[in-house]
Amino acid sequence: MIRWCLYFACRSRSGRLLKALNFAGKFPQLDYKIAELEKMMDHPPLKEGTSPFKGADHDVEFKNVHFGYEDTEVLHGVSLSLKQGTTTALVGESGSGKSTLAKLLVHYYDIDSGNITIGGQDITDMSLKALNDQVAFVSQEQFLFNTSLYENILIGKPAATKEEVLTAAERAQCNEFLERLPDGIKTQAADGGKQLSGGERQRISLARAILKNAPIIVLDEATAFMDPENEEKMNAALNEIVKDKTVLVIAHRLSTIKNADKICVMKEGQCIAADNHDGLMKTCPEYKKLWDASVSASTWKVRE
Amino acid sequence: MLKIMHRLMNNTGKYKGRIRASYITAFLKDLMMKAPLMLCFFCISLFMQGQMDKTKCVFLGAAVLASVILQAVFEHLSNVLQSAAGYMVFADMRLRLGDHLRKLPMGYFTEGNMGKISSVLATDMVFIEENCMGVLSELVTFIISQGIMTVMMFVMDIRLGLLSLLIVAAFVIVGNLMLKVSTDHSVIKQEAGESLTEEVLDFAEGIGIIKSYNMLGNRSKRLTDEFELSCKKSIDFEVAYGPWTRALYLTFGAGTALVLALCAYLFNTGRISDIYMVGMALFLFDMFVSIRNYYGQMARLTVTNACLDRIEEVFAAEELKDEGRNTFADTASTGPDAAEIVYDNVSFAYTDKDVLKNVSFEVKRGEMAALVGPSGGGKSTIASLLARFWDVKSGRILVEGEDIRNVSLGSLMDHISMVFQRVYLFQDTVYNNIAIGRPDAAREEVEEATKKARCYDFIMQLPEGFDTVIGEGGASLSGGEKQRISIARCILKDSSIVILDEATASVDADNERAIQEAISELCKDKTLLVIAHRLKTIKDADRIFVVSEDEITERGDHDTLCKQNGMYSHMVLLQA
Repeated sequence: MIRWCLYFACRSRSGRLLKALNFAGKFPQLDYKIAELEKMMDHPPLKEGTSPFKGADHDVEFKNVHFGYEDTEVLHGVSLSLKQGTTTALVGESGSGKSTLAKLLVHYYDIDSGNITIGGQDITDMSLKALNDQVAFVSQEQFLFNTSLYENILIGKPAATKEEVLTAAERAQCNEFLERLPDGIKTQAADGGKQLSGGERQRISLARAILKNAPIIVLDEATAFMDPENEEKMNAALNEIVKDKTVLVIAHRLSTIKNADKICVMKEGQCIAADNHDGLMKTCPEYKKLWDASVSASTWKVRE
Repeated sequence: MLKIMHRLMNNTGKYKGRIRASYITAFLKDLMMKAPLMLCFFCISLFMQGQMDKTKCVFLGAAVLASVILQAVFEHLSNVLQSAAGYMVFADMRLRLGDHLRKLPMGYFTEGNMGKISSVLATDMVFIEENCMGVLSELVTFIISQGIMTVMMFVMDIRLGLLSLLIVAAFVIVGNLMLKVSTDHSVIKQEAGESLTEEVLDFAEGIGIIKSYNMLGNRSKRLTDEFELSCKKSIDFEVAYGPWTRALYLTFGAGTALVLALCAYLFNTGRISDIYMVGMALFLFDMFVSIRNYYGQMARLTVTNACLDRIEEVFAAEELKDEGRNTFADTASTGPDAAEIVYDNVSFAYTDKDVLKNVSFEVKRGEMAALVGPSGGGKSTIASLLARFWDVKSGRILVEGEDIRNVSLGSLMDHISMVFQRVYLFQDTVYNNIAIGRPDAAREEVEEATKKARCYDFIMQLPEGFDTVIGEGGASLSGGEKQRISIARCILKDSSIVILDEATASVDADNERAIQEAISELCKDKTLLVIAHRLKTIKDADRIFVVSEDEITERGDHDTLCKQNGMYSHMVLLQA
């Protein structure tokens, strides 16, 4: 009897040990996963103030801004001021830092040194909410939330009436394709995603920004050219929303920003010149080069 | 539940025999596991009968050793036969899937099916491969050995046999109820999981908008709600499932106790001998292990059905018919003036609604044809039909006089190059990315192509020139540079037809001119079908087709169309 008991005891003991060994293979996996989690948790959060917006006006000032992604600095001390009611364009080759500079104004990243102020108040002093109330960013991104197109526009101003939403959609030139969709503005973005072109999705984003009606607008100009067929409509829509605002345009094509109040030429992370078109054509060879390239590109034909 | 096992077996293809063979070895292994007990029983009964001697002792010892060794051998054999077969089954299935995906219309990939494909490959197949194939033969063994055990009980004593049969029946009832709970809940859990994933993706992808429109509070709440729901569903599952596992173990305990009690009663009343009593005590705890383990393992297989459903759904997507065996080389003997591309009364619909109605036109060799019109009018669709992204609903498309469906997809693709706005480069060297265009090209030809595509200079500036790896973890290229590499690929390919989305040339401003030059280089002497957005660029096209509301409404060259005072002339005025 005792032997049997021992036999069974041994069986179940070794069984447990074996079971424990079964998990051994999982430990390196667990280790890796925990390390990944810790890495993510260790990421420093954005510096965020708590004050409301108390700037005197909506002038924007970049002062000696240095910024780098991880180890490589991409902006080496950029200073630039944008006056309320004027349009400033950032031009330069890709990689010159123009998009980065614009993203800093909407506080996508913390800068390494220098400061950015709105109406004299540092953007890191105000809460993210206060900052977001002042600035609308129309990026190249074409993301729509998985709800109706109506709700996607409503995000711009959740308290808006239906009329306001529809007007914003109309001003962003959305009507032409909304009419084509069987459920119109009630179409689900997920279904609509298949039926909407990139440019059409961007016009929904634009309608959202129009509805928001923030005093400062940061605009990626490539937005306007997703659908070249609608270029002139888009330009009309843009001209309407930028009225009386502080506007910063990330410009890819020069012809559209020729009339900007100020054009800032970016090169290798620095602002090498800032003036209007005529001034730059005379004083800035880099700008002239960009302009000439742009002119010759606009006369290109697939085949002569 | 046997249905699931059957379904799994049906997916094993040519390895079916191997897996069946593993049933036998697994069964033999099981038998060998029980052998020491059996020998132990002999040993005790010999002692009790006073017949034990030295030789028998040695033999019994040797037999125990042999059974342990054989157990290891059979276990090894079943692992080799079955687990290995499991991996091979899925290796084959993945290859088959790859083959299948290659033959699907290109449209399948743009219709939001990418998620489905990746979840089938990354989750479903892996789950079955790792969790199910290895237990198939065990499950079969469990069923067989439970049967043998029950029969043995009948042999010993009819009353014991009947009792064990009753207990097995109780197991079947409890076990199946448990599996039903598990199946029902796995559907609910799956759904909760999917909607959670969607919400997380929405949140992660839309974080820029969420933050800049101050929706963090509202959106975080939705996300938290989803997490809580998913958590609740998982707990619901455990709450519903837990009692059944307990019940299964309770049946096991109660069953064992009942058999023991009956044995004791029979022994006391002298119906069975002391030797049988000892034997019973030895086997008692193994009596219902098989069926208990069967249901324990089965619970894992309940998810399998859903996995198999998804796998089969992807396999069920209709392939593009690729039965044509003609090649263009046979038919290229047509004269220089022959039409290279002919659309003959082509209609097309993605779903039910026609997006193209009776489109007819032709393009002669070396000509440039442009499709213009409002966005959403159907011009991209017309072009994508030529490359058989989809097949026409009615009518036909001829290339070199040959219906494109009668030509193998391979030779059609050799004949056409496509330049679109969206570029995909492989995580490979620059050189290999271009050589895809014509794998047998000499190095000089590849370099020549990059010069024509205006990318030679920037490639030479990369850390390792042509051998630089691009993509994640490698060198990053700007959008315009990627575009030019893809054009170099097409230049190298040197096919006679080029489909071009003209907007390609206007994506990236400072690269614009270089891309334009590259495109012009590519388009020399080709038959061109251009999806045009800006009219200026295609002003000199030989034929311009205005596509609006699913039809070609105007056709002719620039001058003719301008005189017509139609949509084209209107568009020219607007874009001036």
